Amino acid sequence: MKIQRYRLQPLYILLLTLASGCTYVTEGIKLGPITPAPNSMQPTVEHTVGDFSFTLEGGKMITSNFAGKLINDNVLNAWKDRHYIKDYSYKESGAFSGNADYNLTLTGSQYGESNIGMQILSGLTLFLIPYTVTTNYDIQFTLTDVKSGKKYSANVEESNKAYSELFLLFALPFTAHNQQSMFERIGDHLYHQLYQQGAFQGGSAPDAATKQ
Amino acid sequence: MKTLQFLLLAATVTGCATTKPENPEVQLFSALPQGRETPIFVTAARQKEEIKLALQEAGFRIVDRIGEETVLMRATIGIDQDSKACGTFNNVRFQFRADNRNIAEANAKGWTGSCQPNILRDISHELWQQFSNVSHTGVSQ
Repeated sequence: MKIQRYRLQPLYILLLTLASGCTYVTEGIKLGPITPAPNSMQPTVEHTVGDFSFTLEGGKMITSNFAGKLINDNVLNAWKDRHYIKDYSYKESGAFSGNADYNLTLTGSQYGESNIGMQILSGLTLFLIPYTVTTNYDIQFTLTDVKSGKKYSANVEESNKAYSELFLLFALPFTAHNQQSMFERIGDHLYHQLYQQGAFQGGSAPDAATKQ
Repeated sequence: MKTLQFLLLAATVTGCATTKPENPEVQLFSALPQGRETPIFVTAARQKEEIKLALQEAGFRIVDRIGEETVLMRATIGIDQDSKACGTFNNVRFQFRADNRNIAEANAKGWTGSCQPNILRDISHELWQQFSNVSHTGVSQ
């Protein structure tokens, strides 16, 4: 079984930074840190983007599918770094191969609140005047055990704020760190909910697993 | 320079557009798979709790987990066009989705949050009424 690896997060962050000026992003504000139960299974995961909607006030640099894939990549990368899973790969919607241990589908919404007037003003002053974007995430993961067909679901809400201004170029390392911290916490909460239902536990899934 | 002035003026005029509520426009493409008992899972990046409450009050069966029989209700609340203590004035879109397609879509404009009258409640009631008017296999005429 060969699972391809995609580690493009730094490239995405750099492209988004160059496209939108220089940005400092805060950590999320809703989810606290947790320590999920250890997992000895180390499964492989194929993931896709299902019914996911991305909206940004004042413009839309990326598509809903691309934004959803970014979330999946960030969360699954955190899962891999924390040894919750062995590896992961992306598949187009409805094109799971059946070769991984689990299939994962993202649904939900992402909304970026921003003052359009400030965006225009910031652009006209070549980003000397800052503008902010508050991003709200409503994320659902639906996980299917490929062998048993059991389904599990988890959902989280999170929010963070981005400040864009010319001289925040130097804040890039902090932005990357905060983004990573936020997606690690999002990942921990999603993983914890799925684990509590019996996912990622090999053949010893508890009766509490929700078969749907 | 004149183009720039025009753009700024247009942006200002658009930003100061009147906050006049618009009644819900509903399009039904098919009935809910299990009629009134269909479990509805709500996804919304803004005002999720208010939306769930409005749908519940209208009669919809709201669930907290996605299942195979669940219909996804995606709510999008647009940019804040005005605000007061009880909430904000927004464009609102409700989309009932199953198998990556729309079962129904409703669009409206009005006050949200805890304001009265409330567009989240109005749009929920309108959708519930229209769904109630169609059979399990029929489509709204």
